[in-house]
Amino acid sequence: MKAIFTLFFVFFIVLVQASDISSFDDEFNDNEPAVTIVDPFSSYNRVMTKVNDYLYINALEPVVNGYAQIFSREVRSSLHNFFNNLYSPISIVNNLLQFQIADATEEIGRFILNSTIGIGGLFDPAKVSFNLETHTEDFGQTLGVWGIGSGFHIVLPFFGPSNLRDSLGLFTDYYINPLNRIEARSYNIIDTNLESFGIGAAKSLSTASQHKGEYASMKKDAIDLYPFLRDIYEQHRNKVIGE
Amino acid sequence: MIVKFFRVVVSVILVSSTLFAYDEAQELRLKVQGKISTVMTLLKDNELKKEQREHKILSEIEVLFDYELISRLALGKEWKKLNSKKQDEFTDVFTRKLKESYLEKLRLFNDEEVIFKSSEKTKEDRMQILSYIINKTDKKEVLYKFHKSKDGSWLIYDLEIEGISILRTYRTQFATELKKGNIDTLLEKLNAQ
Repeated sequence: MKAIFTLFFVFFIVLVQASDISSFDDEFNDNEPAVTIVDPFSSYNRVMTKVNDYLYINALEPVVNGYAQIFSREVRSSLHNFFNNLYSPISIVNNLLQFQIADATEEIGRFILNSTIGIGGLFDPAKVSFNLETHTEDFGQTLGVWGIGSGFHIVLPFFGPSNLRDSLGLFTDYYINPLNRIEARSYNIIDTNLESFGIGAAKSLSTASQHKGEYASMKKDAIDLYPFLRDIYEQHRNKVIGE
Repeated sequence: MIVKFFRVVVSVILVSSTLFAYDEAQELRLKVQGKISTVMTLLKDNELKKEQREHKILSEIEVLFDYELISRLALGKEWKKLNSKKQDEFTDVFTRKLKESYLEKLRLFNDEEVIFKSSEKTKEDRMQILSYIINKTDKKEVLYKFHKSKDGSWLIYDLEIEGISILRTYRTQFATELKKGNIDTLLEKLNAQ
């Protein structure tokens, strides 16, 4: 009798313990996408991650720090608003391509208000006074919404983690942008390649300064930098595509 | 008659249980909101020394986390292969790491504000609280994921920042590390950080 009771008791404990943890199986199991990511170029990616990391710490960060010392926080956020506004048409196009009409309309409203009342985008009255939110979308996200998978992961020089789909998106956004001059087009705003690189570089600097210290802080969570950055990139992209 | 009575009873139970669920989610949100606003006040308190401040922040926030469950889920199927001494050791080291990482994120706070958007019961024993960290030019989504522990209290088992699950990120890293090495090399790396 006692033996049966003990057996039952042990069984019960095992059952309780098993159900306790297995109730998380739908969220965390060993076949989750992060573990089974497609990564045929992992050795190249590792090397490029090291290169980018070196460039980030030794080239970009000192520049960002200098920039942050020269300009006050207010000036920097104004410049950041300016660059975001400049690139807003790309988001508008992509919102439309994703059939997110409400978001596209909001973004169009933002672009018109901030370009005019906001003095060419330096200020953000669209948000402050009209409560219009940004809806940043790129062509990589559009492709994702259309059902195209991410493809293999690839670390781009300077740009950092990406994948086949998002690289294609990056190129497309770059190509259609009137601020970039790839060939002579009637809607080009810029006359020379140098100017368009200048704007791109200034925007990157502005963005980096708005996220100053975040990379270094995040890096401390990494045991192995390359797979760490790869996984958070893919997780983040899946999230913004789902929105 | 009996059917009618039965219907009334069932609907009363259903209605009251949803009301109760609503209250529970609301209650938890208020609790977390209170904790976070204390943390924000502590961050701005320049009277305190850095160590004092961080110690106070941690003691405020650590009661919300289920560190043992997080450790267990982070190791996945490898957890069961460890003896209880190793399990405890791992939990200790990883808990310290998580706390340090939390403080590290807070060190970046400047003129940030935290707003709480919603709380929702997603399952009988799961709850999610959605919040945003906002500053002048940026908005980051933070999702707190709670589970109901054995003693009935709600505890955090994962945080998602901009869709990036903290737990998932560690899980993948630990799995990779354990494939190459073993629990001791993993502990060594965690300690070295």
